Amino acid sequence: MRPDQERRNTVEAAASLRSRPLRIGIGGPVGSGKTALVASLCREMSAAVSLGVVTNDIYTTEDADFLTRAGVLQPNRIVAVETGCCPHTAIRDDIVANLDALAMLEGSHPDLQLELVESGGDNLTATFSRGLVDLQIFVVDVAGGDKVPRKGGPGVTTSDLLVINKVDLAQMVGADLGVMERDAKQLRGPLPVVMCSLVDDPGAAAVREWVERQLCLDHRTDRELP
Amino acid sequence: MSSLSGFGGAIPHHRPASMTALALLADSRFPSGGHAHSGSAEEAVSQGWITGVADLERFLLLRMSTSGAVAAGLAAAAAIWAGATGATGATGATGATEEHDPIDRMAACRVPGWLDCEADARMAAPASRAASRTQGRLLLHTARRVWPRSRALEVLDRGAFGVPSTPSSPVRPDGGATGAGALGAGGRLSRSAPHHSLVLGAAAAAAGSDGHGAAVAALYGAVGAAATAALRLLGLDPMAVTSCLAALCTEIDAAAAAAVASATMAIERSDGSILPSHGSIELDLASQRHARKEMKLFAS
Ligand SMILES: Nc1nc2c(ncn2[C@@H]2O[C@H](COP(=O)(O)OP(=O)(O)OP(=O)(O)O)[C@@H](O)[C@H]2O)c(=O)[nH]1
Ligand SMILES: [Mg+2]
Repeated sequence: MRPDQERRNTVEAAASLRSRPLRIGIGGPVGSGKTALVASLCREMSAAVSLGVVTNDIYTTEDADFLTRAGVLQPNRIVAVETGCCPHTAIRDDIVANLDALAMLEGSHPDLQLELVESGGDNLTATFSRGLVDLQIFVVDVAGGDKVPRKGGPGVTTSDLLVINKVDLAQMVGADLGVMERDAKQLRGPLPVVMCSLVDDPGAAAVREWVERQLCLDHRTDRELP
Repeated sequence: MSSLSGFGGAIPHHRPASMTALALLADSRFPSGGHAHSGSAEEAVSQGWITGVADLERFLLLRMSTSGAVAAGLAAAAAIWAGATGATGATGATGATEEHDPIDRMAACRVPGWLDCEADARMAAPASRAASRTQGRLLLHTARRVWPRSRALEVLDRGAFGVPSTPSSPVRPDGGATGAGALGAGGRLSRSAPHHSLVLGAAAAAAGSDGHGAAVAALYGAVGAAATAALRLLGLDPMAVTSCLAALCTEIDAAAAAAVASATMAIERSDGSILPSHGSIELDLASQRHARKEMKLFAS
């Protein structure tokens, strides 16, 4: 068996043991690459894992339309939530529309194992409520300058995975990747940081591996699934 | 208009309505998805009806005396019904009597269905009906978690109500009952749910408020959503916007009192046609236009 087929089988077996879908929030500033990352994860994982996506856009269905056009997931596994002028409210303070969207996805796809909730692009303080997701990935990008991780905020300091995306652009914007990684690790202690370029690695291997690993854990106990 | 027959004389005594319960419900931070709705203010802004605080004041008055008054009547009626329906289990959160005559209870279970039809009949624009059902479903989600023992909320949750239908999310035959889901075009949601005003009334009763509290919450919600949306869309001075709302307090109180009076009479006489039924064709058209727009910040 080829190694990636073997890996897929392991993930498939682990995911099938879950009693309910794993919910992962994907947040971060505008344009940092959240939708591109969601698209990569769908493309790479949907063969082995039953996946659903909820997007939270400012102008209604832009991200959902992108994912539909990209053909990475069946359209009926993608739901767009409208957020008024307040995308962060919909993922933190008033999560009912998102919970409703997830319930609807689970209603039409009872076999769901992984649910990705993309927040609307927002500021460094916008994080997901634990009432909505089990885990959150925060995506920042190099093009915003190498000061971004140092500025901190709960997304950078407390997210379960920090993705520093668009490292392919570092040279062009004069960003020092070493500084970014060092600052991020200093602020986050043991929490993981991944340097990523969706241009150089469209499969987002490091992020995908992290998600696959989480699928094998029970998040109430942090133990391996039995 | 359908009738509320079979529900005479089942209204029990309450302890005094809790003002704190009303504050909780009317607080825009109460999680109910309301922040995504502008009460047609976004369309009013794009039409140039609202350009500043003076226009906003007129718009809020229009909202209050049309959709606000209608919602207040329905919410008050639902709260009166819910107050009589009580809570599950031995000690009711509402303090209402627990045991009713079984025939009365069966009649009481039909009340939300009638009120829901009355609500449908009072919202000419399909987009308004859809927005009302969507917000009803979301409020119900939270209310069920917060007041799990409310029998009225349980009845609303279990009942079969209409499916939102908007130009962007056509009615799907598979979305007929609560719990069944259907995705409209563009991935938008459409699923069975009672109208928002009914859920608001039942939640008010569950919280310890009453028909008057429910009516105030409905009216304040109707103007508050529009005021906040206009503030955000036009960058208005928040102090000036709050002054607008403050100036409306007396009128909201009066409208709430009128709503409670007609709701009480509607239930006593088993006649839904007594409930407020004011409307504005301009607002109905605005609601439809907004729903058809591709680029918009608010859902309604
Ligand atoms: N050079 C480069 N471009 C990238 C990378 N990842 C994403 N992009 C591009 O960045 C732009 C924004 O990406 P999106 O995925 O839409 O970003 P987003 O975070 O979802 O944006 P919002 O939802 O609007 O906040 C797109 O043009 C992507 O193609 C990367 O690693 N390198
Ligand atoms: Mg996006």
